[in-house]
Amino acid sequence: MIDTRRLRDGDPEYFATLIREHGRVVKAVCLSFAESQDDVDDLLQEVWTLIYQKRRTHRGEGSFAAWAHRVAKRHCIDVYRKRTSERSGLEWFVRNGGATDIHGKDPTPGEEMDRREAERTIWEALDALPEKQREAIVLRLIEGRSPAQVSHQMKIDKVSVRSNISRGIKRMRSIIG
Amino acid sequence: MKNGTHCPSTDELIGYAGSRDEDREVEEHLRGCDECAAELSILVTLAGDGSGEREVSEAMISRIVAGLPGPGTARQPGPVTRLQLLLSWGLGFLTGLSSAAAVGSLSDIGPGRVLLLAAVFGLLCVLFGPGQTGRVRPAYRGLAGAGSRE
Repeated sequence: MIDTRRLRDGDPEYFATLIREHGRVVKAVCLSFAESQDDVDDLLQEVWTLIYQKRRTHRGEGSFAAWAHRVAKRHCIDVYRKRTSERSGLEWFVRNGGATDIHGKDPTPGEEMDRREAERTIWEALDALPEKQREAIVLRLIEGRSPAQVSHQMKIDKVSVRSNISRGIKRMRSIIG
Repeated sequence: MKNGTHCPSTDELIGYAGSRDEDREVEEHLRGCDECAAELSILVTLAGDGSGEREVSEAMISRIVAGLPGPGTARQPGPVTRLQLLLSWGLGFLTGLSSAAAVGSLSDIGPGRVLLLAAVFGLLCVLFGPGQTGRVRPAYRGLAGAGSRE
């Protein structure tokens, strides 16, 4: 559970704890939008600074992770759109020396671009889900919490957790097409 | 029912994606069921590949925390547009004009000097004063910064 008072006060120690607990969600989004490892670090810094600046707008009702995911996704999309409007994808790859290897694989530039595009579509689809479904998916799949933990945090039973995830994934599939 | 076998539930697919254990029945099903394959690819993207690349290192956490603005800092307003700057200058100019005109009527200075004084006052408002928006000076710096980056 989030300590809303410490969050609103901007306690740096508590903020570090939040990054430890929910860093995976934000980093997962940043990885899909980054162009290099340095870019991942820069995006992480920017997103967490933005979350810190917007901390008073978190109402403390829904999950912090789901809220942080939304802030991260919106910021990364803004950055991505700004970049893509400035240069074409081909120029991007030439500038980056072909495929970047931030995921530890060695795909061709085309494959890498397709994969990233698919990931971005998935993040956008996740953001379009109803809050409960999005929250259940973020906590269970991205943060890797157990069904019991998700159930406790969302204050719903485990069956509802499962059905929220299942309905959410199916809905994402229909959004993605 | 696809491919002669039942579609696994989302829970089963989560287990399959996470365990990395061979499950021939699921594998066989996925080869023939595009819907389940699409669902699995969503699950894998969301859950990551388990390589730890999504973990945030302590060094990175320290860097993020060190770079945070002060606790009392709210989100900075965005840079003010040139139009707002022009409006600030205009407002300053008009204020300066009326003040200089009032002083001019008392001390009998010429209209050229009145205009000059008003223009200088408008400029000072843009550079140092609170101006129309209350954040003209930061905005001026923001514009200067944006210009230098381009």
